[in-house]
Amino acid sequence: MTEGSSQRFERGTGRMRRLARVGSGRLRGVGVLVLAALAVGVLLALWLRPTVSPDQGRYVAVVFLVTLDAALGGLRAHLERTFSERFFVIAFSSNTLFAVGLVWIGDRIGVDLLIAVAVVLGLRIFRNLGSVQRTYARGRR
Amino acid sequence: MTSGVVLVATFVLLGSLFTVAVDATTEARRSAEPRRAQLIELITERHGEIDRLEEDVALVRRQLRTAESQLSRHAHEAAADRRRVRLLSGLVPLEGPGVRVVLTDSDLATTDPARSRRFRILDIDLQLVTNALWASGAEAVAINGRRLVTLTSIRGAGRTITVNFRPIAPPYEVIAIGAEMEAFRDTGVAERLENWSHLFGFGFGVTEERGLHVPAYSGSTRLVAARTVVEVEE
Repeated sequence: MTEGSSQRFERGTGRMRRLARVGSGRLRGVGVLVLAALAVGVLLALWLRPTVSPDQGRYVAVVFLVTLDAALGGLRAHLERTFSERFFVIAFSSNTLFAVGLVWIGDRIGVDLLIAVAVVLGLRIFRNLGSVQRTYARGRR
Repeated sequence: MTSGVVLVATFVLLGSLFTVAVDATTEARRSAEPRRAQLIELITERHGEIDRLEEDVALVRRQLRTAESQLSRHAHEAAADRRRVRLLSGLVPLEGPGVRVVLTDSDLATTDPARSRRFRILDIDLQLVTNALWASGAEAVAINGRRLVTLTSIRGAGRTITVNFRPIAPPYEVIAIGAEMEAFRDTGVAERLENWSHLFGFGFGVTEERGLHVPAYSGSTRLVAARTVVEVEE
């Protein structure tokens, strides 16, 4: 799993070729869309250049992790055709609020709860990533 | 189709959040960098300051040592001066070879009060003897244990003689350390007294002795009218 993912992130062109080889038009379209959306987001941020203080940077990182988790979870649900808009929005917003609140409380009481959030979300992210990979593998077959 | 839009929006958000987070971290690291450099600079600066101050301390220590040795030398000189002054002014007892002169009143009795003076040793005789002793090399003189100093007076008060304002009784023993017997005997005073001792019956003995002892002056050294020209201790 990790070998495959690292290989995929090493060379973008290789990944594109591989995605093209998947065959299914739906899967290929999703991959291109995901990459395009990421690029748009990066360009948007570079264009807007929001100023973030180092203290706020911690919260941005938490939101980033929650968003990564939500995005992969959503992608997985989408590929498995179980995506629910309502559930996604509720889960995403509540996760964001909860994670940010946890880190905020951690900062107040002097415990770095960012680590705890990162560990839990990291596990979820890898699980979702694994599901997405499986779906791709199935589609390839 | 809306589910795709939501997902795409989520990925857009993910990309921008990633960029912002990276930005914030880079910014934090960059803002911490000058502080580090400043601290390093401050530490180096302070180290230099410490080195400089240590040099100052060493310099001041050297100066202090020099001043202390100077002070001790001065104190030493002052003490030597003091000793010399005390020695010269008769404030220390002395010992040494010299001349002992013993004078006694005449045994020849007289009933005439007007003529009795002739048969007694008078203050003037003691003054003459001591002056003659000084002249023959005396460094320290005492009469009946009373040290002669610059403030000394030898006076007659009725039938008694006072030295340093204290009465003394015959026989009068004048001790002069440093005086030479031959020189003293050659003085006119000694010759006259020798003659008078035969004529009037005075006791007049002159002996040369070693290991004579002269006590220290014990009276007051306070000056009433005189003032020192040069500054002297005490």
